[in-house]
Amino acid sequence: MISGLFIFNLKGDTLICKTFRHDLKKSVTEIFRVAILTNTDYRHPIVSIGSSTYIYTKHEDLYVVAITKGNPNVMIVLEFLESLIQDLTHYFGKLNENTVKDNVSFIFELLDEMIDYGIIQTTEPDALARSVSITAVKKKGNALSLKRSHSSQLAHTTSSEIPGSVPWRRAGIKYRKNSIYIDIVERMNLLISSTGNVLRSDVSGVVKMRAMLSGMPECQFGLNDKLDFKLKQSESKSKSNNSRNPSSVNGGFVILEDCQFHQCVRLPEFENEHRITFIPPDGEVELMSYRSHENINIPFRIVPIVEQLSKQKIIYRISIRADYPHKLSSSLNFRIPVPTNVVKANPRVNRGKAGYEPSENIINWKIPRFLGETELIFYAEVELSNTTNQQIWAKPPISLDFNILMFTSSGLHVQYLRVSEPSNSKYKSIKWVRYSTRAGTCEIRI
Amino acid sequence: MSSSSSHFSSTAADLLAVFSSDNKDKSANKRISALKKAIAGISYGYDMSSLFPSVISSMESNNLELKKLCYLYLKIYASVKPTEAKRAVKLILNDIYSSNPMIRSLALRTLTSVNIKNFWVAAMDPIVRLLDDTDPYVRKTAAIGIAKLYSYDKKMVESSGLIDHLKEMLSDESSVVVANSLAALMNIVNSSTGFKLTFSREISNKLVKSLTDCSEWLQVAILDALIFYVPQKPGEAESFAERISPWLQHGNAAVCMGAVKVILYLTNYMKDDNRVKEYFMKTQPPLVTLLARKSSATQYVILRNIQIILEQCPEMFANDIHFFYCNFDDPIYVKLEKLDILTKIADIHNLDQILPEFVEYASEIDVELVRKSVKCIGYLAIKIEERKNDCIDSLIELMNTKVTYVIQEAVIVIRDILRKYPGSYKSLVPILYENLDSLDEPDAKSAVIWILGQYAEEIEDSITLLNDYLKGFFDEPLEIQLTLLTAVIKVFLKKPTAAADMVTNVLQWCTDEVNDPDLRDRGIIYSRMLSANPELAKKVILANMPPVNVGTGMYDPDTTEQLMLNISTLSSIYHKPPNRFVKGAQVAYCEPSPVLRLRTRDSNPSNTDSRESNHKKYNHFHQKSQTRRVMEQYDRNSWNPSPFSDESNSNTFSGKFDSADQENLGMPMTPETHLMD
Repeated sequence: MISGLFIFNLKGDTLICKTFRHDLKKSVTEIFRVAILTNTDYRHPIVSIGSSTYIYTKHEDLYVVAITKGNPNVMIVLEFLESLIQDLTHYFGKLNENTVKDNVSFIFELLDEMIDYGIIQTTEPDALARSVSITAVKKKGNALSLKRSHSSQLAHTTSSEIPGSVPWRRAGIKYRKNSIYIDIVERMNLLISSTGNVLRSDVSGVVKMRAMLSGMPECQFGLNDKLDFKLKQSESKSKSNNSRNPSSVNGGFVILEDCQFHQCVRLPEFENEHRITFIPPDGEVELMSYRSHENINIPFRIVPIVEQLSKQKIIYRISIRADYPHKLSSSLNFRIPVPTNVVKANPRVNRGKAGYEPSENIINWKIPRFLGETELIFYAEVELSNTTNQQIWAKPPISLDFNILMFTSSGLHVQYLRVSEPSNSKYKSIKWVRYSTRAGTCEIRI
Repeated sequence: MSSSSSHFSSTAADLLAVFSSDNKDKSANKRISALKKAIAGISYGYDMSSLFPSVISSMESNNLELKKLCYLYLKIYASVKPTEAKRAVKLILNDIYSSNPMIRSLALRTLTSVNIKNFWVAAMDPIVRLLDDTDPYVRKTAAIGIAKLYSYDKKMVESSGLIDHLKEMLSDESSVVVANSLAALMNIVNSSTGFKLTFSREISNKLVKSLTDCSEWLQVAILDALIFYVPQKPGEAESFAERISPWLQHGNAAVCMGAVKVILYLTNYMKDDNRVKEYFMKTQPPLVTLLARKSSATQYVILRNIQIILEQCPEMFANDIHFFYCNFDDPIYVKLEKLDILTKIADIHNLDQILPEFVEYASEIDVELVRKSVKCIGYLAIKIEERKNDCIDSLIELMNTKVTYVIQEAVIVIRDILRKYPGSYKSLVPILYENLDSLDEPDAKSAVIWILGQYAEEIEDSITLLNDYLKGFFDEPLEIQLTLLTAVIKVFLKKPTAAADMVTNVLQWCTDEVNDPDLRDRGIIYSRMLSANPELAKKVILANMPPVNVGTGMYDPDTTEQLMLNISTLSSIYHKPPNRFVKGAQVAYCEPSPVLRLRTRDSNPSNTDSRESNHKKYNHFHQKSQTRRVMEQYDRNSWNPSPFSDESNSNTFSGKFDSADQENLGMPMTPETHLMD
């Protein structure tokens, strides 16, 4: 369904022009530059002109553009553009105009293997590595290696492994020491009103996995989660609503609204037996993502007071208390908005450093270590100049950024992780688990 | 930088020299390097066609990398130099019989990718042969090749029996082959007018089983195809939906949305209302998850799809309204969609949370967002009658800020509120009076003129105010002229003595001086009604209007059904069935079946026909010039060149308000402004 895929630089010059079908005119690249790039009316990245639809995303100094005809599945195109950018970044170390120019032939071949007649086949680096022959120009260090010995190029490559039953993992992987790392990273989204009420609080979490395991291992993963009743027991929900006693209903489990998995996870097994079993891809992957908004531990209690005493003076009083265990600490960054016509801003804080940054119209308050169960206070008097045009202040919200290690707002934690290899009863592996809770979208309205 | 500059500095002549050297394998690397530069040069617009003969000679190499580069070059230049390209056909056919499946696949793919008759005629026999290849990768390439040939010559493919071969590939042992054959088949069906796709239960079962073995991208192709399975027996749809449910939790948004589409399609063939609702609710968590985690473009697509799904299950997000609150940094196109959804899901129970959000957004800096928020508050005052006072208080509060665009938008919605609650809220009229100087936009003017006519008795200076507007009568757009004419007639019928001069002037202008036939005709009709029978005119023109109805959905059930079958596609973004913007696209609908549900909210056919007829008449005569969202602008430019197209209202939020004038006079008149335009 993708008729063509193009990569442009920011000026609209064509770097890659790859067509998969014969239904595009030669003017499509010019149309992108003239009609879309220079036209500020087109505000979102799905634009139809004539019978063509341009679906694009911006990455560093590039536009990556898919052109489609008819009534395409837009979602698969958007997902593919993201995957393509990830893959090219893996191969080149960095994806920008220079690395694209260095690898034109490679990109052509890669796209040929990824897409046949507009039908997306795969974006898995391992599957592609077995098909792609043209070598990539690599940055030294962190680029994915596609090295081939000279003699292997002459050998007849068998394609029996290409569309195997485990498309994300190839056979014959060997590590001297098997190890697997799990990082549970939660992003807390908060929306607090100007009166201090929590309007929205929820957690989006991901389980990142880095597997350096030999062979074709089987993994089973257990968490202390329980899917929301809405998903599993809708009939018993009314009963649980009537007897809403948190300790008895939840029983120490974490309620998840929803979770999603990498394609390596056997979805039918999860659906029917609530088991997370998979053969892991080699390397780093996002195994699972989840969402929760019941019984979340909001790590901070924030009371913002912003008073405009007169046209020339605003007073800020903000207090924040850390509601996580005392032994944990967080790095914290407040961005407190001020109007554009500030003459003087003198913030005072009891910890960390706060300074006025005129170029961004904020007072930046940074606290490197904020211990649990302690409180921070911010006070500032902001003096404003008289402006003749009396522009309205947009009043952006205070935004909060933080990172709390070894803490999850949802309370989710790993109960077990079993790794076995069917052909090796003595298979051993080292397992690591880390947790962190970071700021997602944290806004405090003023 | 040095390596990239070296790509540009090579000329075709320099590269040609590399190919003139000896033919031993040790020169393969040099040729590879030269070809890479040539292909890069092609990308930058340089003419590399003089290399063609040398490239063809290099095709016979055993070096796979070199061979691939040659084929890549050939695909680019074949159409530029068809005579030279034809010489390559024989070489490609040799590779098709290679013992290496990689080379077989590559050769067949190249043969089917060149739109020159010699190439794709030569591909016919190899395709039939390679559909039975031992290697699934080769079989998959052959299957897709059939779709390619179909794009070159439909008749040849149809008469050759290749499509029957393709159907048989749906039973292949490899899931990758099945999925690709399916995608090829659907591509053929979509680009033809003669084919109709239906999958039997056996084929559909096989497709579902294949889901576990394909890559995520091919899973999307399978899910897209499953809406062509029509359940026939009770319990079949439920069984399939249960087997599709696991894919609601796939991390790829396209797979997840594909599962949503299939499951909601299957609900059309389920008997139990509770079960249907259960499946709708089951799709809710993944939709919210995608909204929370993906890029703005993906969020936009999902929000557009959620609006369609809400047409069929309005209560589905009752517990998750906060996911539709705007983040400060959301792009405007995401914010506007979120406001539409919040308005749809607002009810008497959650309004305490939603209304303050709209008031907050109405204080933002972005003008478009502010106006939309004001509209939404007005809409909610009409939608949730029990809470109308809270909404109206919010509107008054916002008008007191004296921001001009807030006032203009508020006047428009207040006009609709007055219509919804006739006799109530006359206290709003003096507030409008105080703000008349702020109104300069056509819609706002039109609204206030309507109010002046409708509430002439309550407005002491209505005649003076109307006379002020009449001073610019000839310079106003038609819409306002029509509104002024109607308002003047209404005032005359209510205050005959005081308005006599005004009505005489206006009727004389309309019948003698204006050029527009619609305005002239209406003037003549009013003039004759007043002359012939003033009492009857009073009955007709001042009749109580039918109530404003905002309970119905955005679209009629047929359109909603078609949009539900196109979840995730471009159709779902523009909220248009595909046949409205794709030439020759087929109209999708739920196939009849013994277990097909009857739609409980169906209008009866005569009403549907009547509404459509009126709809067309309105647009034919009275295309309004209104500010519309950008998408609608290029939407119209792209697909609706006629200014009278009836698509222009397809993005309206609520159903149209009925017009008493229209019904009583039996002729098309200015439709009232849609609340959520």
